[in-house]
Amino acid sequence: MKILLGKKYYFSALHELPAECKMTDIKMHGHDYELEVVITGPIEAHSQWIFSRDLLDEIVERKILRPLNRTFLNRIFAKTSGEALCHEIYKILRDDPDLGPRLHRVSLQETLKNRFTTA
Amino acid sequence: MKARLARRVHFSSGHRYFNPEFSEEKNREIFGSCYSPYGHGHNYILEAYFEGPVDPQTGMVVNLRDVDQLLKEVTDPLDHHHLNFDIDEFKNKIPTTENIALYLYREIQAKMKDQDAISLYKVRLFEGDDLWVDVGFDREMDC
Repeated sequence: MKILLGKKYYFSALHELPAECKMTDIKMHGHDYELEVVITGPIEAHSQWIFSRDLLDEIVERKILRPLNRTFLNRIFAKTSGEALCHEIYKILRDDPDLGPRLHRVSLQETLKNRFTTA
Repeated sequence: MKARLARRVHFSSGHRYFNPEFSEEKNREIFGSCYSPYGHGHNYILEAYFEGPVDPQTGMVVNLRDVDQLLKEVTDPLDHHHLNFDIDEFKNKIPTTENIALYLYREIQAKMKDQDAISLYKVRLFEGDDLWVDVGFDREMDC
């Protein structure tokens, strides 16, 4: 039996794709990103949950939402395509000492037409 | 070839994150914003995923009427109740989303034993819009 816990978070940011990635001549633009963080692991005996909701919120807020919300992503990351962002967010969360060992996957919805997953 | 079918049902329940072996301070420390003296409530959504071959005579994996009946039987006892006080399972177990999902998985599976052709692939229990728990077989659950 496997148990996964997922939680959704939201942030808005600006980005611009390099010319070779563009399907059209779209310039700098922004998205309301929907981030889904999925963790797994055994149920803790004392709390009977697999991870503290407050700790999960605190880690995602401190490491992802606060640094990225309302920013120009190209000033933070070398690549800002949906898949690159999803990968970067996964790496940041994987390196967290509390969350990292329990991280199962990260999904990032950029628009209603596209969603990326790193596991 | 197998097909998978998911069906939703809603229910609303009260619950309290509280371990009687701990002091009030320790409960407050562990459960944080989930802790409150009397508990609180949620609008839960249960999604049950069934897997099996498509019946050549009906074109269905399972009859939705039967699925709805089964999900109603499983969730009706929880709907508009306080889980800690009203449900035997949670009199000595904290009704975390994980434990409620495990309970619902077992309850659905127990009612399915005569239907060999289909299996319960997983359940997903939403607590509000932004938090969910999946319980299922020990394999990838990426649907």
